[in-house]
Amino acid sequence: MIYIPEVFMSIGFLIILIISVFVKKNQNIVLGYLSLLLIFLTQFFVLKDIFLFEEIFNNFFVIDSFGSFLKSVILICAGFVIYFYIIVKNDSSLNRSEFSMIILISIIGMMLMVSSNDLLSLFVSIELQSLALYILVSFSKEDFNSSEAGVKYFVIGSLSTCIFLFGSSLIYGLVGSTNFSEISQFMSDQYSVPLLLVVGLIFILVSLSLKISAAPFHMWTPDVYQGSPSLVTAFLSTAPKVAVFGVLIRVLVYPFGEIIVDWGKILVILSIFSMLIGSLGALRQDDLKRLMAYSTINHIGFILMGLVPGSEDGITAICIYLIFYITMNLGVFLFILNMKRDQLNVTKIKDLSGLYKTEPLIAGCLALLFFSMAGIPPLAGFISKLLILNIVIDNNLFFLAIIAVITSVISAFYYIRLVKSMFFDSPTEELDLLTNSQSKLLLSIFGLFNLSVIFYPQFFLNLCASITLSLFALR
Amino acid sequence: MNEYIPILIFLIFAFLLSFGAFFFSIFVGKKSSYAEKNSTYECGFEPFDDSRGRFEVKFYLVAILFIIFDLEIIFLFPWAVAFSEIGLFGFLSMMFFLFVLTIGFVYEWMKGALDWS
Amino acid sequence: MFFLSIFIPLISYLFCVIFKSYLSGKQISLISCGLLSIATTLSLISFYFFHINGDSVVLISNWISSGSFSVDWSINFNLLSCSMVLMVNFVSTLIHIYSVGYMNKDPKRSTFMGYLGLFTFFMLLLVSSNNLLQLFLGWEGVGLTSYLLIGFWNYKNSANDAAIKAFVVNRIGDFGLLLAIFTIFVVFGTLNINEIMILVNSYSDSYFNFLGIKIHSITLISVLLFIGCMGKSAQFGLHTWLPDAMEGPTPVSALIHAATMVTAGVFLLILMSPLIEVSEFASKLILIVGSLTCIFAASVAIFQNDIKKIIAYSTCSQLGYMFMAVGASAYSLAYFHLISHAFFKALLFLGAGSVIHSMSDEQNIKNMGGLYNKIPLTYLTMIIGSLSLIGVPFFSGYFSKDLILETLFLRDSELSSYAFLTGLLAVLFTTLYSLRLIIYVFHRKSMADEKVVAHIHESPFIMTFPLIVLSIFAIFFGMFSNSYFIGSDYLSVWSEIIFVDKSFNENFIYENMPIFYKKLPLIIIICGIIISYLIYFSFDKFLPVIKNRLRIVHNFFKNKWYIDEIYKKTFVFLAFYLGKGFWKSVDRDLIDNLGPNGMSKFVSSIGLIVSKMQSGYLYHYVLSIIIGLTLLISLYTYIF
Repeated sequence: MIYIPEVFMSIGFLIILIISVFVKKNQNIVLGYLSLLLIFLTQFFVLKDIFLFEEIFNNFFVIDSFGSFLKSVILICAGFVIYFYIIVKNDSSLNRSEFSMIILISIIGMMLMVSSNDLLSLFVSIELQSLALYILVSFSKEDFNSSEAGVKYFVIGSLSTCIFLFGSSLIYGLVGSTNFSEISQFMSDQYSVPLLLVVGLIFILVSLSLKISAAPFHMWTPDVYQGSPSLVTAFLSTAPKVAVFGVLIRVLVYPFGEIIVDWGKILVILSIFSMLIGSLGALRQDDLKRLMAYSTINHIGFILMGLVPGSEDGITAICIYLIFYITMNLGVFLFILNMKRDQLNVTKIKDLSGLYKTEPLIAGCLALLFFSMAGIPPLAGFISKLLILNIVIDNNLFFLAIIAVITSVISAFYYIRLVKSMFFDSPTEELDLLTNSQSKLLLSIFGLFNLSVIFYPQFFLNLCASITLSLFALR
Repeated sequence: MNEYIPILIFLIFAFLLSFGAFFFSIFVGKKSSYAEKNSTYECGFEPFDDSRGRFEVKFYLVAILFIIFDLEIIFLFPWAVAFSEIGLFGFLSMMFFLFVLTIGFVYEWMKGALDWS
Repeated sequence: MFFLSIFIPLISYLFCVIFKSYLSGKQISLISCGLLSIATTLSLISFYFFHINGDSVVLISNWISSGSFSVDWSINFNLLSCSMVLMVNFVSTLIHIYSVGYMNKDPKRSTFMGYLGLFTFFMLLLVSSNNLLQLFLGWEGVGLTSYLLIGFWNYKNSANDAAIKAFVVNRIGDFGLLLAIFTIFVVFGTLNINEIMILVNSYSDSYFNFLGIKIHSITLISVLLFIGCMGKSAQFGLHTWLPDAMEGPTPVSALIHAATMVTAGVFLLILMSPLIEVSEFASKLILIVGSLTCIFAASVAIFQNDIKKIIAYSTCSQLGYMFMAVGASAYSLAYFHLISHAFFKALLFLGAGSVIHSMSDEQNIKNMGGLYNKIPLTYLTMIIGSLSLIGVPFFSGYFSKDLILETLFLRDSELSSYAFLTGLLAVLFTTLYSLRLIIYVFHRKSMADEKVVAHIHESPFIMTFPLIVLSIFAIFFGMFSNSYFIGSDYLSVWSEIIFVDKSFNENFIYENMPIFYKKLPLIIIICGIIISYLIYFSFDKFLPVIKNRLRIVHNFFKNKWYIDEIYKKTFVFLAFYLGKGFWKSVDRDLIDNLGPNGMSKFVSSIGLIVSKMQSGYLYHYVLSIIIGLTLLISLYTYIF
């Protein structure tokens, strides 16, 4: 049982927690390395059993390839964030032993989320994850913005919890069980699905949309992204999104796969809203982090589109999109972390201007990442967008595809505006030189990855296709 | 539906009775008010200051820490009741739970959360 | 080996571009010369061993594969491509060497060498291609490099205008070629040249329906191909760019606008000869346009004063001869003339370049004179080139041109008889303008400033060396190689690649020609020499008088039959007028305001609204969530 990644991780976490008490205040980096080691070992356990299928804890949780794959992705995100924490010189507010601890807790929550097979266990793990994230968002206590973001995130999160619970109770009332397998059984026995059950599902959907910040439930995102420390934003925009998408896919495809007609339409609305707001909202932003929030919303809309047909291909495309999305996002946030003037963090877009003159390599990598986000061939973002659009068109959702393309064009504008600002504007005040060679290297790796994916897309396609297969084997 | 009718009757009756008593006293009761009677009553002496005043956040912290042990007790009761049936696995599970709690306790102790200063 | 000889010029280009800022211009130039000589050596070796290897196709890789449409990157290795590659590489190498001297002081000389290499590569790609698409790539590539090289001195407005003119006029021809390629694919279902040649006979009766008109498909293809060739080879109607293209550096004129690129049209027709042979109409059209070009260009050349323009018109006229040969189904002769023309015309251009060089960039022949003893080597080579051009016996031009004329005579059709007469007249004109050039430049009293005269000097050896080599070829090439193009020895080899009229060649029909007609060109040349001596040397005082008397005729020829003016008044004016109208009313007012500008304003304003919605108040956010939730549920319950 100890080899179950979550269990292993929890035990490791407790050990690190005890160690953290004895570590001197200025040596928090040690804890960072320990956490990185733990994540690495857990990753090993996850990958070891990636093709295993097992129901554990009275069918409260399930271990399958899909879950293991997402866990692995989540661990990679968290590993990168902790690595950023180690290599980038942080503000004093982040320089506390709890930072990596809380990230570890939230990953445990996320890992439990993606392997949950019951509404109850799902609820508990979502709460575990969310509570950890509330703390992370308000981590720099002295910063007014961070506290504000924390409060907003907390209140919205609680609302999301309420909505989730209400939806679950409706479903429990009608089905008589909270277990996914039994809900699935109930659905296939029924001739016509009761209206209230779908309403319950909508409640759950809305709650999860709040977590992934799909419009019109996105309002908290820009404020929280901007307010929280950049490192936390980097984490917030990657790992939880992957986890919640995992949950969303599992809930929709497995227990509620029978009523795809019903939730498909809801998803269409959500994705249209997200894409529109994500692309339009970012046009007039002047803060890079806030812009990234809208960019996330736009990407989320795109990813949701892939789930609309509920098909294997669609979910494969989503998995690929998620992988590429996190590489782009982590790269950009790594740069934002290093964006300093006179040792102080700055995040305004106009601070980027003329970056090419001082840091040609970094500007080039960043341009690659932004172009990739805009979906310009032959970068990774293009491949993922292409796959999703392909799925959408295969399912004759032309209207959706047209909106997706239009919003892509609009969003390309603001990404390219950033690139233009970096390469062609004259610098107002120059940023500090990036002396951190590890950051430089890592950023170039992210850039190169996005550039080189075009040469081996088949690898990701095969990987994700085989992962998705396990999800559908259950039905 | 039939079995709910007594409840409905009971509700109506309770509503009428309470409202009746309330309004009856308004009309029937003798009213005389003076300054002393209108002032805040607090255990027989004058209030020192506003009751909505702030107090030290440490109280809050202690209260939260206390909740953990509350939870522990709540969990221990059913465990104790069912102890004879759950066997060694149940015992070890609870021991693990207590161990986790202990780690938390050690952590907060070492971090100085229990120091009042 | 053959493969390498094609790709080494590309390597030379890349080398020049990459090392432009690291090495000096001289080093770059010498290295690119070296690379080109290697390429020439390799092509010579592969040509020499051609008999051993025989015809083959070197497949490099698949290019496009879409349904039944499949195109490969491949190289055709046969007598035609092999000899053409050798010729192109050889001439290109000489011109590379010449350019080292000619462009000595130009700051962009390494770029220039690079462009020359790129041009050579595209030309080789064109001639060695096994399918029409790859050929088209080379075709466009040479067009592009021609554009770059004509406009090489881009600080001169006239050079830029000429470059654009060349490009645009060529596009008209290219459009024809594109249509031809499309039609070929529609009719034959393949673009592979060998496959088309096999299929030609089975499709000789196929017809097209276009707008209710029935068109013989192969005629259509041939005519469209010919339009493409007219553009590239500057035939009458689309010839206007060639004289203007002389704005480029002289080596460019020699390489691109005399020896290689302009002959691409002829080459294409030779390559597609079995196709053209099927269509009688196309042959006639080619014959007519060819002879028209021949006489037109020769007549205009007599009245030009720019030394390069005279040679340019001469090129145009010689191309007319080649097209006449094609029109008379004597493809191997067209090819023969193509190659011998390449040598003597490159020689003439390089000689002209040498003259210009020594005259401190003077191009007007009226301002020259008396140079024969000052630059004797250039003089000698120019004489050789001109004699070869005129077709004086036993020079290269004599063999190729006279054979064409004889073929025209021997064909029993009215049209070819007319063509024969035109050809003879053109011979007279050729003699006149060649000798006029020689006399004006070398013999008459010097008209130049004293400063220029004092500065006159023979070009350095690096420039005269190519002249000498080319002179040797201009003298002896025809003598030694005429048996490869006519007679029975090589007919079997040629007939596998191109169309050869066997009956015509095997019957020794050339030997049975009446002696008078056989010697007629020579007689005309002698007359021409006498006339030009009289006009330009002995009686040149009367020239202005004659000019005044016949002003209308003189102006007509001087202004190149007013063709440029007609084009300017019609097509160019119309295009500008339409363009301006569309730009102002349609593009700027309608499309911009409704399209990009209007759209972006609209999107931007919506963006502002969306940003404004983000109030920052928590209760607004919660409200939006509740509204969203209610909206979704009610949408689901009442609408879906």
